[in-house]
Amino acid sequence: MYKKVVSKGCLDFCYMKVRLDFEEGTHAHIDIVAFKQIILEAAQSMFGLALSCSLIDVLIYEKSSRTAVLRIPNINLSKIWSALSLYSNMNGLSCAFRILQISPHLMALSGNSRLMSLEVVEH
Amino acid sequence: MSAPMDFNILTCERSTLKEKIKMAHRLGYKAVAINIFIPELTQTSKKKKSQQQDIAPAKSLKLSDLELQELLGPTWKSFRQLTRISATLADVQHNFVMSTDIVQQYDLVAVQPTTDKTFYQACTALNVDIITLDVTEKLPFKLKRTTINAAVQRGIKFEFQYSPAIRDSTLRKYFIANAQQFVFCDIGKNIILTSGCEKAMELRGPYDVANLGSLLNLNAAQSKAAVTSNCEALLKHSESRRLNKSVSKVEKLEEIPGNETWLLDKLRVHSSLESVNGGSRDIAGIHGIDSSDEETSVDGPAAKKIKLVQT
Repeated sequence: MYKKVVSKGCLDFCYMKVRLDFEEGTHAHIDIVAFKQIILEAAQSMFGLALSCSLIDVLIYEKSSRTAVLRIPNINLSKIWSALSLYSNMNGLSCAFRILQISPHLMALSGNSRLMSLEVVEH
Repeated sequence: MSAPMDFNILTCERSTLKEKIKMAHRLGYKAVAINIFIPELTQTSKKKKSQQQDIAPAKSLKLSDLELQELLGPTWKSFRQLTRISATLADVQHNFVMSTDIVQQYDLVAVQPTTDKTFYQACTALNVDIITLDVTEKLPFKLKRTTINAAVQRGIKFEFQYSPAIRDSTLRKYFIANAQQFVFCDIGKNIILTSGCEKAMELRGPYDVANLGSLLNLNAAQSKAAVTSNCEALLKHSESRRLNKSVSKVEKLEEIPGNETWLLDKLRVHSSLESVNGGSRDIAGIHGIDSSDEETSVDGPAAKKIKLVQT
């Protein structure tokens, strides 16, 4: 029924949920190809060809909220993360990548306790 | 990870400032310092009085409680605002301004030295919390381990701003180069990473900033400390800067000599005031005073009213 899997050391891949934010009031329509292009551009401007050649997969992309799940080799995680967080300008529009969740297991990205909001009842 | 803080939010128009604070709160910062930056300390310092009027009083920088509550919603109480003043130091002679009252009233005092001499002075003599190292150009002075150690022993932290690195790729180069150079001298322990942002979009989340530390040759623990625990240490340092040199002592109430019984009276008035304000529980917890006893024996002598809980 259930199988217990024990992994030693770090896993090969890391999964990262990112959102691309623009300033309020800008309307940018970005499809999945453009999104990946932006990520490669960010990686290349920071670390050059060596990093942008490495494996970066966009697994899911939601166009309305510009949220994506990326699959990244574990050794490159820190580099790509910093490349994304230093990226700020897309064709003159200021933008920012918000890294929402990072996990070595894809399953862990299915839920996020930070999105839970508590209702405040005021008397 | 303990509470992350961002100690450099440049003051600007009210609406932009609010936007920045809202963004910082949303990204998970628990405290921000609103920073007023004085680029030229030397020009106005000839006339001391006019100089002092130039610097805005610390309280005017902060948002009022009402504004903050409107901005951040129900969790506004856990969010701290601090004030910070920073100035460039070009000349050794003009630094008396840093020790004036109006400057010392700020929660945090930072300086940005531009020459060898001022850097040395800031590290060894000046009464400040933070030394900002410029990341927009090559460091104008040589970093010496002895000088830095002197600053470290006095509890001063060194600050690097990351938002110039976000803005522009050449500045990014200097940011990384300068910071790496510093980390080489300092072993990476006394750094804080702050934003220094002009727009709300230039803010990054605390974990992102901590990850940037890995670019600067910091290890994971050090880069987390650069956003959290080093900032906390700074708060303590700023408190000690504003107090005069003082010592606190814990003593049993029964052993207090006769000529100091007036202290007990003071303490009683203080704790009864607190209980009116609803804060008696905290005070009693700290001082080990049984507040219920105090209320029952109102008519007794002062020394009996406050009883130490024997533990």
